[in-house]
Amino acid sequence: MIIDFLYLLIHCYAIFAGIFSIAYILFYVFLAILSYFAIIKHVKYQRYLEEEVLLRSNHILGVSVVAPAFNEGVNIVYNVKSLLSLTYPKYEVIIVNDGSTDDTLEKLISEFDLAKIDFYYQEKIPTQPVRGHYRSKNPVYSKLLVVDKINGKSKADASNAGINSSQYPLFLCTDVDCILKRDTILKLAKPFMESPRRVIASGAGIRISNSCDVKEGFLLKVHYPKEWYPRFQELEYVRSFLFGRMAWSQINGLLLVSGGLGMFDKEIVVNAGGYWHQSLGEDMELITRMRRYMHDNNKKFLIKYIPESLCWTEVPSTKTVFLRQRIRWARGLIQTLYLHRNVFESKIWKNCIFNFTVLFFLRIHGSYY
Amino acid sequence: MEQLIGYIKHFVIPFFLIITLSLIAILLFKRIRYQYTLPYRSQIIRKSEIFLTEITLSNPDKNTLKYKISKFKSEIPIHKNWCKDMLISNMILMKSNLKGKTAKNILSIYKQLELNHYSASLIRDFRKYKKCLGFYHFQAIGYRPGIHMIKKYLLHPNQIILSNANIAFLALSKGNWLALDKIPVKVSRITTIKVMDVLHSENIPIPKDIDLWIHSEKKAILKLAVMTMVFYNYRNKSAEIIKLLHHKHKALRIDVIIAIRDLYLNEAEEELLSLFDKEAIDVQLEILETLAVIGSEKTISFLKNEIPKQETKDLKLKMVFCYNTLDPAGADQLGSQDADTQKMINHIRKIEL
Repeated sequence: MIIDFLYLLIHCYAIFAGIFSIAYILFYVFLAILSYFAIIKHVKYQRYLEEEVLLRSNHILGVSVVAPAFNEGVNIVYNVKSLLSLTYPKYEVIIVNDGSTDDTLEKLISEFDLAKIDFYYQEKIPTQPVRGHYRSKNPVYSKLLVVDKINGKSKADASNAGINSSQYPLFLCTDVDCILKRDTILKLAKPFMESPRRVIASGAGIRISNSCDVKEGFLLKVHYPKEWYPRFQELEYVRSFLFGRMAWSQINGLLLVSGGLGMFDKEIVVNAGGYWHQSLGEDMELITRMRRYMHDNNKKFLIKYIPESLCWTEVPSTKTVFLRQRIRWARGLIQTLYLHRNVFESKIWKNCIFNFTVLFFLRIHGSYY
Repeated sequence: MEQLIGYIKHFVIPFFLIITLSLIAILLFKRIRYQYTLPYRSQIIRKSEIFLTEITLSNPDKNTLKYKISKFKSEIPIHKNWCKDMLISNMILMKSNLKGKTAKNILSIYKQLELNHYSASLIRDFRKYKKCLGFYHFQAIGYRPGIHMIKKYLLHPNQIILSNANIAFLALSKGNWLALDKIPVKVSRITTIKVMDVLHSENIPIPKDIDLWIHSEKKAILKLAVMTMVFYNYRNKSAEIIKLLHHKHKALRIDVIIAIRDLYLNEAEEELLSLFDKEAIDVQLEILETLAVIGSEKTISFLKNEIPKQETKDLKLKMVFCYNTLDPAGADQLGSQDADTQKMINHIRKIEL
């Protein structure tokens, strides 16, 4: 009796595993086809506007680079210098010191010759209190603004303070330890200017910097990771960005622009309420809310992805850290899906319903979406 | 069920396996071939760069140029498209860094190497991005005989081809706005950027019929007219520009307000003040930015009344900015009466150390 039951259980599991695998493969074949068209489209559109023309223009949109920093004293100076060396004619770098307990702020003050300024801070998105704003007395660093605030126990809160302090209509959100390619702002801002429909967010590929040659915040040479965990993650990232996100971008069904690298329309983000500081996956939650805001207000929009690697970041190289990260992502996904569960009831979300279903059934185990 | 499993086992899995293995084999083959030819390509690229630099800067006579080019052609795989692409890219890069007669040398080398035929073949290609690449080659190298090929695409139904063909035509014809009437209803920011870039880089003279453009009923032409007038600092039609402040399209009104600022049309002050209350916040912000440039006593008294009443912080901040620019002493007086206004004044004055 028990053996029969166990046999039935194994048989059922085998059928489930078979169907799941087939669905997974077929789904990825479908995504691969969509991605192919999206990438081809991107290549063709590149000739629409030569990037040098944009660099020479006075009519481009300004961009604020927002990078929260918490206890980054060891590398903060190099990282800020790296961000200040990006190629774009109209941008500012906002470093948000999120109540660091180390010497992050002191190092910034001494290295960049900062002085506290009377900044009229408008809390358009509620955050923890801001202690002050700093600007450099050295004109070389005129693009730099440092925001010092009380720790909000989340990257979301720090990013919101940066958004509140920004002056340009677009902002690029990144981590201070991410290494960006020089033309990152240009590549991400281009879709906002060339599309006839309003683009509310754009993102691009992120790669692994674990084994890369990095000197003083600048990427000298790209290497494939030497350790096994980063190696698999490298493949997973490439698969995710080229197969997944490009495909979703093609049907305007993207529900996530990575927290490590994403450019946003500030007006829409502020109206949508900014990053939610209690979210475990604030990047996905923000995009979902922005979509909701656009749908609720009957506004047409696009979220674009670029099939180019523009950002390099360190990933977990040990099992413990890796598992912790993936569990957090899975929890963030469940939280976002639960919070926006009415997507399945509403017809206005169109292509997102499919994406939500896929996320629920295929990505809930925590792999990179 | 058994049948389904058998079907999967015998057909679906082998099918995917074959596809996967074939893709892996193609990828490996391509990668190996790339690695194998890489040193050869690098050598050709280096050789081309040296040749182009030498021949462009040495300014040789016709016969020497002919001889050197035929010798160079025999040393590189000029029949390969990657080689042609590489040569043209190098030439474009060099041309952008050179001026005068030296820059003109690039054009004659381009013709001698018969790369114009390659660019023309790109324009004839059925793929739209290849066409755009061809337009770009002609435009960037300054190959004027290519105009007749580009002309065919000035009214193309595809927006990207149409846009790039028009820009290339405008650049090569040195300001012939032949297809102006046919430009799309909406002019994107990108089109504006491209037109302004051509006007700037090609030293195009002001269009003869610019005065007629400003009377057009098309929003796109009006936008181009206003921006072109700003570029040439052309103030002869200031009354017509000011009239456009009442245009039904908000985006155009914003462009006009910016144009008023850039052209210093002080006579628009009253009109701007009268429109202020009727406009949306984003337009109001632009009006205030313009009033900070062209404003007079009228603006000052208007702001003096408005600032204490204003509840929208963004708007109030811009008002304080405008007031502080026009009358710093008055701003101080206003700041002493209201702490919030004083904070805004401090922000404006000290944001740039």
